[in-house]
Amino acid sequence: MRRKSQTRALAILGITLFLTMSGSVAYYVTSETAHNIVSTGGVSIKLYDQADPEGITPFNDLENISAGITYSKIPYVENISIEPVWVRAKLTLKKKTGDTETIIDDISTLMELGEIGSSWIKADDGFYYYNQSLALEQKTEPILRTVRLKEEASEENTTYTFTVLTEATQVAHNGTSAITASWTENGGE
Amino acid sequence: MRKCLLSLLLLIAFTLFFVQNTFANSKVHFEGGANNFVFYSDSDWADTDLFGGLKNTMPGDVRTENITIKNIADDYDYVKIYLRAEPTTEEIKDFLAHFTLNIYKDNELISSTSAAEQGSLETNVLLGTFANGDEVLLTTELLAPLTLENKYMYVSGEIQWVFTAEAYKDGKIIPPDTGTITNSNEYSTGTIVGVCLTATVLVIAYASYLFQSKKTD
Repeated sequence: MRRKSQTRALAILGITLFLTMSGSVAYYVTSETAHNIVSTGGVSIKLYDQADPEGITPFNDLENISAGITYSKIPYVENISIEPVWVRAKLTLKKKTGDTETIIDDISTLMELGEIGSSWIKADDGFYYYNQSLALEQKTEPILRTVRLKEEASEENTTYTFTVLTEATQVAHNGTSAITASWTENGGE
Repeated sequence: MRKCLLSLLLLIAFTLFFVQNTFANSKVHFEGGANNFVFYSDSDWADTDLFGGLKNTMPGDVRTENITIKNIADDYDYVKIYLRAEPTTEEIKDFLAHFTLNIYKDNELISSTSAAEQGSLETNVLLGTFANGDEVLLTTELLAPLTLENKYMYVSGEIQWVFTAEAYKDGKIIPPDTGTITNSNEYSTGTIVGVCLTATVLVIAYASYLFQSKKTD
């Protein structure tokens, strides 16, 4: 009887020792989280007017233009994004008669554009394309220097506004020039 | 001669500077002890951001980031290091879904999926068994489509990666049990505590048994 209980006791002691030893094996698990950020860049440009006597200021539309007068307007573009950009510009004339506003498709029919920059190439879509890319803080040469509304444009109760629309798109993976680049979305200001 | 030496030194300095900047890496060191994992990030955004090279991505870009994973802890025989990705939040899913994220371990592709999905990193993937000084190179490759729309300009999204280490000593291999780990730097002592408790209960049972046996005799 005594022997049997001793055997049982030894067996239990064995199991106990085995389990205790298993638990004493050095082992731990630890984890740490990395917060990885994926971000996109973009393209941004600014349109300035060199003609402003106060200095270089953002371009403002030329409103209430009188026919026959030559106005100094010297718009140019600066790239303010890290990404190099292609740039294009559209010179626009808005005609307002009463409450009706129309945009003149071919501005040259009613306006004389003075000293168009030699780096600006006019394409069939009406845009002027700048023939080189702009790196960060690089500027284009002025698109033009003067505008003059032709006398024949003068009409009763009609006002004209001259404005410049500029767009930019990325250089990377996007053609070899502004004209061959893809302009599927408006990328500029 | 002195001029020549100066030029050479300048050239070496320039080369070192250039090389360092061209091959900027992030590092993850398993240091063990209180430090556990330590991130050495090349990102300007956050110390725990390992994707320093995946910033300002433009449509059509393929960006890569090299991340060295290394065990420098000398308290253990070896360490098993796992990696898994957490699910991305719904708000940034729409953004990240446009990107493809490939992950290579020592040039072997281990995951290729949309950046919004966990892919094969949904569960822990063993990066290797690391003795002291061992390392692997993870290369992440981010592919941005040319068709990325303007509304995704200047947007960012977070991809959380969880590194888990199992450290072993005395050669005993214990199966991965990482499901209970939720907090960073938290030791998983649950297994050991469980075994110790069982042992304590058995010791008490054994003592009671001996006591009863003596009484019976």
